[in-house]
Amino acid sequence: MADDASAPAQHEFSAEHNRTFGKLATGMTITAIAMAVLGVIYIVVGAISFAMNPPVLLGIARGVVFVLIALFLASGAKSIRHIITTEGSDVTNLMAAMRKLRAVYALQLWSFALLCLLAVLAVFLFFRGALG
Amino acid sequence: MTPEPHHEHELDAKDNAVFAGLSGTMRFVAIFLAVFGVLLTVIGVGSLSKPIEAVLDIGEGVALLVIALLTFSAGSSFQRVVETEGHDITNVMAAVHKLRYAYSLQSYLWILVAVLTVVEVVLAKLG
Repeated sequence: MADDASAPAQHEFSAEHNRTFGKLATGMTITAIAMAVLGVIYIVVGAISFAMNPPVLLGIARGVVFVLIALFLASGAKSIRHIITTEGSDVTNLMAAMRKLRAVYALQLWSFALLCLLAVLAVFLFFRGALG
Repeated sequence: MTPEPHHEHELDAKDNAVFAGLSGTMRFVAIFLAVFGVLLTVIGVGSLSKPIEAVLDIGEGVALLVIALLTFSAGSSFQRVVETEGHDITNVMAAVHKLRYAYSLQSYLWILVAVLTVVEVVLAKLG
C-alpha cells in the first residue's frame, strides 16, 4: 500500500548554499530598492518639467520600466529567501525564484529592444530632417 | 572498496524548460549590456575634455561590461543545468554565485547613478 511517506523528498540545500542564496537575495533587494528610487526620480523629474517632448516622455517611460524591474526583483529576492527560511520545499522555491528572474530579464530584454527601436527611429528622423 | 558515486538531485523536464528560457534571455540581456557598456566607454574616452563626465561614463561603461560578463556566464551555467546530467545542483550554485556578484555590482552602480541624478537635478534647479 502506498503511503505519503514514500513520496520523494525535495533536495535540501546545504548551509553553505543557503549563505550564497542569502547574499544573492541581499544583492537583489538592494538593487531593487536603488532601481525603484531611481525610477521614481526619473518619473518625478519628467512630471515636474511639464513638457511633452520625446526626451521627457522617454525619461518617464524609463522610470516606469525601472520601477517594474524593481518590483519583479524584490519578488524574486523574496522567493530566494524562502529557500533559506523554509525546509522541504527548496526546489519549489528555487523554481519560483527562477521564474521571477526570467520575468526580470525578459522585461529588461524588451526595454532594450524598445530602446534600440527608438534610437533607430531618432536617427532616421534626424537624417530625414537633415536631408529634407 | 570503491566509494559510491555521488548523485545530485536531477531537475525534471519542466524545471529544465524554465532554466532554458532563463538562460537564453540572460545571455541576450548580457549582449545588450555589453553593447551599452562599450558605447558608454567609447563616449567617455571621446569626452576626455570634460574629465568628470568622462570618468563617470567610463566607470559606468566598465561596470556594465563586467555585469554583462557575469550575466552571460551565469546564463551559460543555467544552460549547463539543461544540457548535462548529474551536476544540476553544482551548475545552479555556480550560476547563483555569479549572479550574486552581478547584483552586488549592480546595487553599487544604481545607488551611484541615483545619487548623481539627484545631485544633477538639484544643481540644475539651483543654477
